[in-house]
Amino acid sequence: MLILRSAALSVALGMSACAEQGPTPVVTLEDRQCVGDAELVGGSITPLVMGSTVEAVVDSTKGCWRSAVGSSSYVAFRLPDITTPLIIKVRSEPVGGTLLVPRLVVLNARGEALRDVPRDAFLFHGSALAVAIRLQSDDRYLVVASDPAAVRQQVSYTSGGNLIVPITPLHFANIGRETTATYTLAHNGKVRVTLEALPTISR
Amino acid sequence: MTLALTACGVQQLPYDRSTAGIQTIGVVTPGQPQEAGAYLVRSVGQAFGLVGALIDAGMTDKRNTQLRALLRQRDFSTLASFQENLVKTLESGGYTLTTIPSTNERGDFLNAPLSSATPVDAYLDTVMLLHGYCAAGIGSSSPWRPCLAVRTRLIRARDQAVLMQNEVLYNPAFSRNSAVTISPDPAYQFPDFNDLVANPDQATRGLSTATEQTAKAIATLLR
Repeated sequence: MLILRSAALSVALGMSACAEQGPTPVVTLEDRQCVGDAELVGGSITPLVMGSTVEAVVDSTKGCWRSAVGSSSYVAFRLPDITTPLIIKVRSEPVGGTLLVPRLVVLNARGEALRDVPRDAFLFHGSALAVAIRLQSDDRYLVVASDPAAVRQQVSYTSGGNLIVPITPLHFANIGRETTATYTLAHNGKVRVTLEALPTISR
Repeated sequence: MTLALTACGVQQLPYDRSTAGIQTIGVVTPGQPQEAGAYLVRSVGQAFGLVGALIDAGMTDKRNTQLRALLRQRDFSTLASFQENLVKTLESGGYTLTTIPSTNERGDFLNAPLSSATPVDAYLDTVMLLHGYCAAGIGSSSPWRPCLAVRTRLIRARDQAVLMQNEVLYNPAFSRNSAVTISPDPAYQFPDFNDLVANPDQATRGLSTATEQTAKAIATLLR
């Protein structure tokens, strides 16, 4: 039993000690050939399916889009026909010390921007920057892009966690600890996009 | 209460201002089921069964008494500060606000249909589940910081439909991906509870900042 407990403790401490390295934050797109319109056809666009989550890595292999706010890296998603109320949840999750600084553009079937969800609408949910929006019947595409105005900034996130320590050879206690992670807001990172039915909440 | 916060949040419902047609909001007096508290989220005592729990309870009582006395001396009410900041931030977001008195001794959203003498398009119902100071664990690496947990929902007046619902945690003691979480302002931290008690102005300002930041997050959800 003691061996098992010690092993579990070692795993717990080991996991907390080895933070994921992650990619170098990309803070400029000067060396990229950016296009004036996000590409919404071909293999670069990911279809979204009701009730599922898609994870996308945003890196130098993904598109670069030059818009009124500057150059952004982006990933594009195709929405299904919207016949019932739907919501979309977008999370930009840290990879090591790199966090894609997100904004969101919703476009119609002709590729025209209908709504822009800016960076400051994204709030921390745990260590991820996240937003949820309701979709409307004309919405056909979703572009998750980086916000060039906010890259290079650093943000810190503090939260509580567990720290298991031995207090006798047979007893362990969770004395807790606080952790602070610092992220560089960047053009690259990882996003998770989930398409769901709009929940009905009754009073 | 802290354990309850880890176990179950509220279902997240995003708001769409462009289609909701809401201009005037009645801000209902937030629910506040308990007084300000000092929450040591994890402690050695928790590993020692009933004896440990009794020791923890004694120490918690002492800290709660000290914190409540400190806030009384400074004439500070978390609830009043939160409501004031909520009204201020929502007004700056373009809404017309009315405050609607209600009982604050409730731990959940209001059940009864809401009404107001002044016509409003929607009601904002909030519950302050937890407020005060929290430490993630024992030791100086887990300082005491302000903490606040609020559930909020916007209800359309004409049919009582829920238009928005979410939960905002300032200084999250637990990892929760479903709630909006706000990292605490590093300007307000106390390595030891005695330091907090010895700096009442700073401690009060820390809690005031928590209410301001939490209100701003709710205003962002209603943009």
